[in-house]
Formats: sequence, structure tokens, C-alpha cells
Amino acid sequence: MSVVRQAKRRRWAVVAVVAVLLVAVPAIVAAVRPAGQSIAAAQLRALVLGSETRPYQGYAHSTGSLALPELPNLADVSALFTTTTSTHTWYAGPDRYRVAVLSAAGEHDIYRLPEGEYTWDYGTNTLTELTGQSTVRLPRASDLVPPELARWILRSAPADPVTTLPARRVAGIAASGLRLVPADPDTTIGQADIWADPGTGLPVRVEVTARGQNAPGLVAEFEDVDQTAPVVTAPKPAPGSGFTVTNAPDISDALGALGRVRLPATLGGRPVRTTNFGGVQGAALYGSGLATFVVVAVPPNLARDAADAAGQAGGATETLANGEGVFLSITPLSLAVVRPPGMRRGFLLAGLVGHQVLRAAADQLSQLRRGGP
Amino acid sequence: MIAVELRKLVLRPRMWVSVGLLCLLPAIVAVFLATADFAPPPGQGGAFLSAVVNDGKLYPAAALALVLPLFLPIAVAVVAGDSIAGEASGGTLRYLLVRPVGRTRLLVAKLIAVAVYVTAAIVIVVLTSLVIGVLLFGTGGSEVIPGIPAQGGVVSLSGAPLSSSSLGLRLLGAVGYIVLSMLGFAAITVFLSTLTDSALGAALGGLAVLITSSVLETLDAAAAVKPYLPTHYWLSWIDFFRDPVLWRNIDHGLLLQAGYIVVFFGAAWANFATRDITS
Repeated sequence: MSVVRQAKRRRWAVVAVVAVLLVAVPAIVAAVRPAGQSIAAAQLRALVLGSETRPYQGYAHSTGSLALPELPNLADVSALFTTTTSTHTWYAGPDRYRVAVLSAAGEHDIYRLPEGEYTWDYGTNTLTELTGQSTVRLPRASDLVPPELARWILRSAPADPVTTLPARRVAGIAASGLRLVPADPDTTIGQADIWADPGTGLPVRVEVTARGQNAPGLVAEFEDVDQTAPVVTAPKPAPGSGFTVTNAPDISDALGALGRVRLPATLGGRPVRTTNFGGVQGAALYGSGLATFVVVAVPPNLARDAADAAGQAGGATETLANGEGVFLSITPLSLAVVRPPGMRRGFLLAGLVGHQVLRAAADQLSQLRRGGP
Repeated sequence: MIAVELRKLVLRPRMWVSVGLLCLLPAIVAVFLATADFAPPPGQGGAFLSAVVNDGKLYPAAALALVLPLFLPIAVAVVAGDSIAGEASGGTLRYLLVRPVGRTRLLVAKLIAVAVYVTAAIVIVVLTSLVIGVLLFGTGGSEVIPGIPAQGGVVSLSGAPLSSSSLGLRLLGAVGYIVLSMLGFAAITVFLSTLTDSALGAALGGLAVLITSSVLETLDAAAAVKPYLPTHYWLSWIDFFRDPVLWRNIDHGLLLQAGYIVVFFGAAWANFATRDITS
């Protein structure tokens, strides 16, 4: 072998070793810092449920892979479950936090403070102060931050069994894992896997898998998290940007719910859990545990638009006891639009229940007399 | 050696033409924005474009957002692809190497010349767009809100007002970050330039890497390799304009580009140092 060839090989070997070392750094770090053992699932559930007052600040991603149609007035909500959302959260406590939803072209911030709530939207260059309280609101990015999502799941299903999952390292934390499998056969949620800091109970990763699916349809995970208390203060209006004060939006604003409609106490065999959902009479939450669904009475034009959107997304039209309904199943979410003939209202149904439950509820709603049951 | 390469760079008309073209795109966009007198709707158009109408001091950031995804990498690919292959295709490489300088030194000088080009191009784009922005959109800051000190009209992505000094520092950070991002890409193209005698081929090879990386970036199935793609953190310079500055992606981007520079400059050195020079 010539001297030149030997030198060439030596040089390429150096480059190859450096490249392999650089690529292998994350794997080496993971090997040096193993995740360890998970603590008992029941103990972890109690820790997670009690972690609401634990402060943290961190950068997280949530990725939804549901093929949701673009529902009228709900594009922002469906985007949460169909794309990847990046957030940076500063959480000092349940009544003092800031969540920044980050995008390549701007930022949308939600500030929750004891004195009120603010939102900042870079796109419209407007800071908005929300006055009043909405009892229930539409899902937003801050609900998909791992701690919020994990606590919502565990609170919704307090009696469902949990099992221990192997520990895994998430955002530098050796996190213990638990798997919750809903006991109710009618829910479309197959399992929810949660990993949390065994010391503080702070959830760092959540995977929600639909029944019958192998891959999770929703994953929320911290990339970086620091469990120290951040300073969160009210944002101040900046010169050159807008400032408005508005009432807290609720579901009725987005859906135009009809306040005069009284919904039945039981639908599809499921008792009502929350009446006046979102503070309006025309909306209610039914069911228990994770097997819940929402019913909202909407104006006929909105019901027509929703039915069209659901139909274009592959929804099936079915004949009900009175009129027609469009049903769409995007596991784990089931949607239905009921349009009783000759009525000045329609109904939107959405929830984590199977088709048969929504179908029974839709049949009942289609026969609902004007003015309520 | 470095001085010679820099002199060659400055004396090349194509270098000034490419910088001029880089400055032209933001200028055209600014003229359209100023004459239309309305910003793109929220979520549409490039970053900062909706805000520059209120304050032209932010236009350099909007200009960077305009040129970074495509125009700047094309210019870098042309210059970096020409570094070694251009000398080879022009028949001057063998004459360069008969001088009493090592090949490694020549390669370092070429990379430094590319770095100077990238820095100069970005700085010139920032300066020209600042002048254009201030001339066409003004400096804002006329609105005064009671209890809030007047700090000019520039607002961070997070809604906090930015003072002129803070804006300058953030712009400086963004420029440095973009320079390093482009150097990572330049290192790949310089390596390709040592593999071929065709400057065009090397530049197209660099652009092929850029396109492949951009395509994989949109593919969920490629999630495992995304953090290693050369373009993955390119747009993270925008995080300099959040409040507080979001260092996480900036740090990751700097480390990634440093890795690309080390590996591909090393590969260029391994290939070029012992390569047979026939042209």
C-alpha cells in the first residue's frame, strides 16, 4: 500500500470516528444515565393528581394525528389534534401561569393570573384581557401540555385500573410510567400512558391510544423541563400594539348554541354529567369517566355546514327516528350532526364514545320536541 | 493565503451581483407592502411582515426571513461549490498548489473566504433592509399608552416592547446564528466541491442536500432523523425575538451546525489533502 493511500485511509478514519461519536452522543448519554425502575402505578397516579401546585417551566410538543375535518368555527381546535403544537410553559401554580404557543411566524400567549386572564396574538398584534369566567371552554394548546393532559385523564377516570410501565428518560428526568385502560367498553380510548417524575409527580409525557389502534393518536412530551418556580406577571400593552377587553369566550360563542333548548337528563343511556355546559342551556356533557360526549344545540345553518364538512371528511349519512344524521368516526373521536326536519335547530355531538352510543343519542335528539323533553 | 482568497472574493463581480440580488428581494417586497399599505393577514406571509408596516426598524428581521429559506442557501451553494471545483475547472488549482502552502491551509483559506462572504452578504442585507424599512415604513413609536414608557414601536413576538438597543442585540444574535447555519451548509458544499471538477455540479449537489432536508422536514415518518437534518433549526433565529429569548432551539441549532462544519470540513480535508490533482 502506498504512503499516500495510507494517509488517505488514516484521514478518512479520523473523520468517520468523529462523525460516529457526534451521532452517538445522545445514545451514549442515555446509556450513562439509565431511566431506572418505575414506582407503583397507584402511587404514581396519586402523585400526578397531587402535582397541580408543583411549579415548572419547559418546552413541550404535542402531536395529534387524527384526520379531523375542518369544522365550522372550530379550525383552531381541530388543528390541536391534527398537527404538532410547540409550547413553552411557565407554570407557577394553577392560577398563575403563561403558555406560549410557538410558530415559525409568530406566537400566541395565554396568561392565567389570579386577577384575570390575558391572551396575546402576534398575528393580530393585540393583547386581550378576558373578563368574567367561562365554566367550560373549548380545548386550547395549554390543555395539551403534558401535566394538564395527564391530570385531566386521571381525574376523568378515577376508578379505572392502572398498571406500571417501564421507566423512561424524558427531558432528562428518569420518569416512572403508568398505563390507564378505561373499564367502560363504550369509550373509544384504548389506553393512556403517562410518565411522570417519581419525586414530584410532574407528568412529562402522555400517549393516548384509541381502542383497536397500535400507535398513539396523541402524544404530548416535554423536550426540556425545569422544576423551578417561574415569575409570571401580567403582560403590559406595548406601544404600537392593540389592547382590548372582552368577555371570556365560551362554547356558545364559537358554536352559536341555542340557549332556549333544554336537553334530556339521559341520552343514549348516559346520564348528564354537566348541564348548561359552557354556561348555556343548549349544551350538556353526558357520560362518566372517559366515555363522555358533548351535545350542543346549534342554529340550522351551522348544523348544515358541520354536516357538509363531516360528509366531505368521509362521514356517513344515516336515517334517524326523525330526520337524518351524519356520523363520522375518527378514532378515538366520534362526531355526529343531527338535523331534525322542520326544526329551527340542529345538534352537534362529539365525544370519546363508540358509534352505537352516539347513534342512540342522535335518535333521541331527533325526536326532541320544541322547547325540550 | 487568506488575504489572497479574500482579495479574489472581493474582486469577483459575481459576488457583488449575488449580494445585490439578495438585497433586491426584500426591497421589492418592501415596495409592494408600502404601496399596498396593509400587512399580510395573520399567519400568512413571512415572519415579521405583518409587523413591519408599523415600524420599519423591524424590517431587517423580515428581510432575513425572506432570504433565508432559499435565496441565501443558493448564493452560499454557488460560492462554496466554486471554492475548489471552480479552480479545478478553470485549470488554476494545480498552480495554486505548486506554491509553498499546504492543501489544508488552502482549504481553510477557502472556508474562511466563504465565511466572510456569508457574513458580508447577511450584514449587507440587514443594513440595506434597515434603510429601506425606515424610509418606507418609518420608525413607529408615536402612540403613547399611559403608564408605559415610550420605547419605540417594535414589539417582540411575545408582545413585550423592545428598546432599540435590545432590538440591535437580538438582530446581532440572529445574524450570528444565520451565519453559522449557512457555514454548516457551506461545509457540505465545500466537501462536494472537493469531489468534482464542476463548480455547478457541487453547487447543485449542495442544493440537492437542501431540498432533501426540507422534504424530510415535512415528513412525520422521518421524525427520528429530523433533529439531525441540516435545515432543522435554521428558522430558530426567530427565537431571538421572543421574550424571553428561547435559547433551547438556538443552542441545539448551534451545536448541530458545529457538528456539520467539523464533519464535512473534515471530510473535505480527508479527500482533498491526498487527492490527485489533474486540472
